[in-house]
Amino acid sequence: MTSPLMEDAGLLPPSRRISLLRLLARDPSAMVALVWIFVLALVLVANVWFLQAYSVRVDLKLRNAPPFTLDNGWIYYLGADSLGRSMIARLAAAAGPSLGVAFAAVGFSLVCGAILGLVAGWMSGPVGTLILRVADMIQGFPTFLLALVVLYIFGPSVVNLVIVLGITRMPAYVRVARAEVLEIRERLFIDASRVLGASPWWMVRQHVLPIVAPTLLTIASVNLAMVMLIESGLSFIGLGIQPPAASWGLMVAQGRGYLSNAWWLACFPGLAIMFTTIAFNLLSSWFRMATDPQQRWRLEL
Amino acid sequence: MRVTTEPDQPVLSIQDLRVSFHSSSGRIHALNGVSFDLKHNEVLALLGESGSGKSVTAAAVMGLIDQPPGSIDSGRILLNGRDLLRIAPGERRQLCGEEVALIFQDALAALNPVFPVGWQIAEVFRVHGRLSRSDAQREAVRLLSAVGIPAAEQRAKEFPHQFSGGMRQRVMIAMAMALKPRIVIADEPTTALDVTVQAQIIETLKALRVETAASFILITHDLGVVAEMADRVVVMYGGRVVEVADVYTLFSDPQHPYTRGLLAAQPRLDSEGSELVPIPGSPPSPAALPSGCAFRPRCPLAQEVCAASVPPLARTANTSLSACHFPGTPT
Repeated sequence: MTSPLMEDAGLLPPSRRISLLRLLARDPSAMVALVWIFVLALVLVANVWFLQAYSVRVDLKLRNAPPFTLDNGWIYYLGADSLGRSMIARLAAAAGPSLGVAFAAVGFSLVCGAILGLVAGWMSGPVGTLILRVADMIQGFPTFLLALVVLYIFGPSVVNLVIVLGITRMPAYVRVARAEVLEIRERLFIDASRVLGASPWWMVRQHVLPIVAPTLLTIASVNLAMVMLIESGLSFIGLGIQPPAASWGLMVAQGRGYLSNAWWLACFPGLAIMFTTIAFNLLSSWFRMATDPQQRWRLEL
Repeated sequence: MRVTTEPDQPVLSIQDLRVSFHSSSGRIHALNGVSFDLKHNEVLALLGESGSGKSVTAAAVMGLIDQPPGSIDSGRILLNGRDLLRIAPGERRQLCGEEVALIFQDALAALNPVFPVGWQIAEVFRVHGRLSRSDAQREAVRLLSAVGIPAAEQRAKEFPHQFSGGMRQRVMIAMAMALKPRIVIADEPTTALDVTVQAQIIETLKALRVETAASFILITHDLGVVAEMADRVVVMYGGRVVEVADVYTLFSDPQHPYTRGLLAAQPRLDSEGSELVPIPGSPPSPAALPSGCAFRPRCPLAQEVCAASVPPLARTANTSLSACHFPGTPT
């Protein structure tokens, strides 16, 4: 084992710096997750390239065509939906909106939450208290319920969806960032930085943020899965992404009525949601370990 | 912005510094009128027990006292004739690192665990906008080898937890010396180290003193370190200065009964067999200092006058300064 202790004792040669990619190769589950994300990226490219046309081509002869047969060509290998559209093309077309909403919402809440959390932690006082109380208020409502009400009032559009999901997930980032800043700013290396003549802005940016960031990014990757699920749920009940646009959640909703005679309509988009969320969760736990110098050796075994 | 000072003019002058802290159990008076001067290129030792106010003095000079809960109630800290307590924060930041630097006692805590040490030394240059990122990195490697770290190029890329205690202290010293400050405050730089490493660190500091012509304030409770490095000694007790003397006079002819007690409690190689004499009692709580002289409850010479008035720091027969009503009286 390459523990820090053994390196200190000089039992091992000076630590080799192992690149993040090589660390990734040593963690099979993270590798599998990354392969899945890579497949999704390919699917997105393929969708723009040529699958888009198939996703809207209706062929009523192929209504609810069963999967796992090449009789109708490879494009219908995963079957066809209730309008005879290729499932492969539909899943590809739905990947963009599903992932897009998730990434946009998480990115929005990550950036705003981090800024608000850093401010609330560094400036304990009325400003910090105000930020925290607002976060409490948002957190007081269940995300899904709040999203439901807001989307009902303002109308379901992609932009509204991103904003609502972004704001409702934000308190987690604010609270975690604030809690970490409160602890970090009392640490001696902040004093050491101040003694060198660093400004508050420098200390937050160079010393606090790099320590808070891995935690926030870990929350973000967990949230990516959660936001995808909420978006799927909202699309399922008709307040999320609106037809003719596709999303995996919407596809599950549309396939629900055919569960008894065409299970693949709901099952494949459901599997896509599941694999993607699992992939993000696995990557997040790998990322947390790889970015912590004191935990990293666990991956270097 | 360096002002050349006359050799005999103090580079740093602390005058009547009073610092207190708010706490749930009332006001804690950490410093009660501390005054001393630091001369050009001297090593001034601040000697005292825990709670005597040594580290608070350093924190006040470096601007590390958070207000609240701390408060600087009065006094002046003059650097080149400018009062550090009354200049703008931006101006003060400029002076920190360039004019005054601090070496922390706990090097592991004072280094950021998520950055390689080379990055953290380079930070000093980048904070002051002196050098570009790559130049700063190169300079950091040079500084690391200057403080005696072998294979500096390689070690600069390693993290603080991969260094031993002595090596971490060297990193701290490299950081403090980076901008060639004229005043270096070393807050118990050797306390956390074992004896052989202590000796190496002291040698490193001595070499740097000759090389950079900086003035040092050495905060310690270790008389051995004082004898090894210091030119003059300020003895502190209960947040006050009780004796100021040059190091030879202090060891040969201590004036204040507390200094005498400290020396008597120290084992000496040349007096084998003689017993160590502890100072009775324990240091006073800064929340409840006794009236008059703070050392009174533990002092063998205490009289009524000691409870009535705080003895002023006054010149004694042997040219030391001593804050005692009965200086030089054998105990």
